[in-house]
Parts: sequence; structure tokens; C-alpha cells
Amino acid sequence: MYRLCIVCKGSRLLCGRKTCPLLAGLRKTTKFAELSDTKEFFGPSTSIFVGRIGYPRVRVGPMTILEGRDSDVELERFEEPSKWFAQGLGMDEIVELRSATLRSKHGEHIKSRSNFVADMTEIALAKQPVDVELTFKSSPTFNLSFSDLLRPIGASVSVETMHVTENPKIPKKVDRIVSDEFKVSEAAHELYDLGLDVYKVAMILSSGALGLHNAQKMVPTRWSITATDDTIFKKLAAQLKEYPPVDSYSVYESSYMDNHFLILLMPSLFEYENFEAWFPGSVWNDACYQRPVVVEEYEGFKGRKQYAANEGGGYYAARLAVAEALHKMRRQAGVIVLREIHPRYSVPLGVWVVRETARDAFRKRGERFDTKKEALNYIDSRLRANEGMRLGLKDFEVLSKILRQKRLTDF
Amino acid sequence: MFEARIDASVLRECIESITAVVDEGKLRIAEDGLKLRAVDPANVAMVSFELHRDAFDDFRFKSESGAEATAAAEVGIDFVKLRGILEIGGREEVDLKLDEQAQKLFTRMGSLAYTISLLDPSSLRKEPKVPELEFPVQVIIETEEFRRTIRAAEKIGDHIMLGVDGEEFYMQVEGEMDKLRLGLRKEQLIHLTPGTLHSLYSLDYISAMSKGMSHAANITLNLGKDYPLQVDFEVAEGKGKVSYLLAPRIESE
Repeated sequence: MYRLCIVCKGSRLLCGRKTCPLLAGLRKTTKFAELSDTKEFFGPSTSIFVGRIGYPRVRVGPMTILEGRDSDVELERFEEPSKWFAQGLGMDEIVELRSATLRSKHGEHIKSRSNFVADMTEIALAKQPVDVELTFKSSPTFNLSFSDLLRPIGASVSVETMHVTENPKIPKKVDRIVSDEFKVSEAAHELYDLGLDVYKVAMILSSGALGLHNAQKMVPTRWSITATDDTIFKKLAAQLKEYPPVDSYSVYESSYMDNHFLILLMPSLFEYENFEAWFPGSVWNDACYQRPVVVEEYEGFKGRKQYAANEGGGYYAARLAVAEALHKMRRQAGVIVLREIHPRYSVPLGVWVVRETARDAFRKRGERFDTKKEALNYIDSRLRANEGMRLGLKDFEVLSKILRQKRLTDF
Repeated sequence: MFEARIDASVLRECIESITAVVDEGKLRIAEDGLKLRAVDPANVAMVSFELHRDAFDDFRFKSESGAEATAAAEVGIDFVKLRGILEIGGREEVDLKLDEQAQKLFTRMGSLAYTISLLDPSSLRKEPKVPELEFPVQVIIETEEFRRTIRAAEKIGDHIMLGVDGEEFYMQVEGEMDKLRLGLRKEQLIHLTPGTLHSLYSLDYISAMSKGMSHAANITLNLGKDYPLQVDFEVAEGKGKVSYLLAPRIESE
């Protein structure tokens, strides 16, 4: 099936191979390879990582920064996609930045309450990076690894022991929320309401700090990201579905690293449709297909019950950005998101690219129109050609649940 | 004042015919029975519902606002919640009692009493205008035949074509790989107006509707070309009427 890679995005190995050949092709050794003889590490940990392979027995550990100690680099830089976007970092700079990250792996059950896990939880909750001492079980490997959902990871190593050498500073309000008997979704909402971004909320979720105390467990980092996008969205959606609809058609636009977004808001109750158009040469459309491949996912006012399998995490990330914007406007709308992915987006950098670019679209003034036809014509004119190849609005229209459905008010 | 008693399974059948399209709505209670008209959030489907007082074993209504015979009470009801309660009850009789002042609906099934808070009617969407439609073709078909085809179609695609070709009525769905077609000639149907036309509809909506009509023996389909579909059927052994309206999908060139 020609859409296989686009639907799978390296995550489910739908082709039946043991590793994703598209991702394997991107593997490369980083400049830190000279450290391969080291047996221990002392330095700052900026986040944690929980693996998914072998679930519920997974490999977990802190993420540390290899060049953080002596240089005066700003450690937050390694973790904060909103800053990467704001500073307009390019693909190479982000890969370079992330190549300094070291993922440590220690086998644990997701329900484990060992000291190792307790230390990890504190790192996840801490406001600032925490210094740790690690002893390695093996030699680290310095291969960059990429995924559709996660930020790139520079190196990885199995660790024997971890020692936290300072007292992590955990904000009081955060501590209060995680010590209380909240369900996971409630606690996640509370953290988000404190002003924590979804990246931090997802990390705290993955550490196992959330949930009723006897049900707490770690959540693989991969899953925690989409789970957080979905949970926060549901909270915002419940509120925004009570707001009045927008009063005209408007189109918002943003582009980052060859990901081009056009977002249409229409006066109606909330419904949401998301398109991804992968051009030949972009990450998941290996150049063997001659045409861009378009996939679609939709949900109505009542929300969705099934995972958006055609698009995966990108669907949820963009939907959150849209809900944040509507919530700020105190309006609801029928929403269509078009994402064109052009060939220069050749390495998957994680789903934050979608979230941040969609968020950015709403920072600018949208173009307003009185009629749907004008708005659609405008979108058609803004779609981007690539090497003579161009999609028109009608390529999306044929797949669209929203645009092809007539309304009773049309009669 | 509204107090009534009705067979729980009859009421459930009625509520299910409503929840096939909307979760909540404004129910109009008058001396001759109950009425509702509501449209789904996307403005794609509409349900019109009427239940005559004869469907009840006991029916008493007196308007609180005036003495005229035309007076009615309008109450906002969460039908999904009401359906949930009726599912617990089984086959008994249900007593209903409305307290307009307190904005509550009391239901009692045997020794089980359940009080539902009413929704504020101003928070609900306005009753929709019914578009003026003229349908060139009418088909009357056994409900089970229709529902069976819809169930099969769900496995194949996400929209379905309903049409008439001469003296044949057909339902057709095409997926990426598969195709399904039901063709019934005039003599296999209860009624058919011959013609040549078809329209395309979203299966999500038709599937939901087909659940709402499961208790009716026959349904009447009113069709046009690229036109809304109107499905009429009876509930409560002929003492109630339901009509669904569904906007078509635009066909691709």
C-alpha cells in the first residue's frame, strides 16, 4: 500500500520489518563519539525518558546533557521547543543541539517504586536541571535517533546506578498537585492551568507522578506526549463548545522547516478536520511515489472515540494548538487544518514541530472573509508548489468530510 | 402540571429514535401529547418527533401559564441520560412527573425513583426551521432490509448512495477495494415511485439513524437528486411519528 509509510511514520513497523528503513537511513554518529570509553558521567539532567519496548518492563532513566557542565550553555535550550521555534532554529541546529543529549537506560517495571524511579520523578518535577552522577554498565553509543513524535536523542547508554548530587527544586504548587489524590487527567489539567507547557506536563506524566496513589505508573515518553495533548484538549474543548461560533471565515497561516500550515475557521459549532500532504522526498514519502500523498482525519462535535491512526500524534498536537487559540478568542468554530510537508523536512524532529507551527499561525492576524467561497479561493492561492508539483484545494476537498457535506441550511 | 404513565419499553423506543440524531433538546408538552424538533450540532441531520397522548396509559397536562388549549410546556431534556435510566428499568411502567418550578423531571419505575434536572432551554439551540422540500421519489421498505444493508456498508466505506433507477431502488457503497450494492425491484418493496436519481449520504449519520428506527416494521424513504433524505416511520405502535432529515454529501466530479 502506497500510504503505508505515511500512516506508520516509523512507529508501528507496518511493513513487517524489524526496524524502520527510513529511520535507519538517518542514523549517524555524533561528534561526542570520542567519549565512548567513559564509564561514568557527572552533569546536569534536564528531563527523563521512559522507553516503550518490553512494556510493562521498560528502560527508563534521566536525560543528561553531555556538554552542559563546563561551558556556560543555557541548559533549558536543550529541551524547549517553544524557544527553538521563537529563535527560528533550523533543522541542522536542532539536530546539533540534541546530539548533546544522553539517554540513560535502566530496566524497571512501570509500577516500580525503586529509589532510581523516585529520583527520576524528582528530576521530572524539578524547576531547573538537576546534577546527577551515573555509572555505566556498558559503553555509550553515539548514534542520533529520530522519531515522528520525539525530539531527536543524541546518545544512549545502560546505567548501573544514579546518584542525585543536589536537592531538586520542586515548585510548591506542583508538589501540592502531585501529592494530592487527583486522577491523572485532573492533575494534568491542574498543572497546565499553573502555566506549565504541555512538554513539562507530559514529562511529569511519564515519570509516574500523576494519578491516584495506588494506581501510579510510569508512561512511555512517546505515549505521554499524545496523551497530554489529548487530555488538555478535552478540557479546553468542553469549555469552548459552549462559546458562540466565530462570525466570519478566517484563514491563519504559518510555516516552519518546510511544514506549511493553513488553518480555516468557519462559523459553525466545533468540528475538526486535519489533512497532511506529504510531498515526495519529505520524511515519510520516500521519493518513490511521484505524487504528494494526502491523509485525512476528522471528528465531529461529540469528539472521537478511536485513535486518529492515519495521522497519529500530529493530529492531536495540531488540535491542541487550535483549541488553545479558540479558547483565547472565547469562540468555537468548524476547523480545517491543512499541513503541507515539503521535501526539505527530511528528518523527523518530533511532533512539537506541528504544535509550535500551528500555535504560531494564531499569533498573526488571520485573513477574514465573508463567504466560504472566498476563504477557500484564498487557501487555494496560498498552497505551495514544489518543483512544479502543486496541490490544489480540490485535492483536499475530495477527501474532506466537512467540505463535502451539505447542511440542511443549504436547502 | 404534567403527569403521565407509560410502558418503559415504549418510552425507550421513542427516546432512542431521538438520540439517534441529538443528545439533548427541547421537548414540548401539550394536551395532545409530546413533540420535539432538533438538529444535530453540524446542521446536517434533523429529527422531528411526535407522540400522541394515546400512547400513554395515563396522561394529564395542564398549562401553568394559561388556560388555553394550545398552551404547552417546553422543557430541556438530556435524552442520553434519560435513556440510560430507562435501560436500568426493564419492562415496567414508568411514571413521569414534571416540576416546572424546580426544573426537575421525576421518574419512577417500580420502587426505583430517579430525578433528572432539566436543562435550561435558553442554553439549547433554537428549534430549527424545516427546509421546504419536495421529494420526487418515495420508497417504502422493510426496516430490517435497510438496516442490514447499512450494517454491511459500514464495513466498506464511509458514504452511501441511495437511488432509484427505473423500477429499482438501490443502495450502493464503494470503499478503497470493495463495493456493495443492494438492488430491490418494485415487487420486492412495499412501494416505489419509479424515476432516475440518486444522492450520496454520510454513513456515520445513516448508521446512527438506522439504530433509531429499529422498532418500526417499515420505513418510508423520500429521495431526490443531490437532495436531502427524509425517513419517516412510526413508533409506539402507530401512536407516534418520527421523521429524520439528512443533508446529502457533494459527489466528487
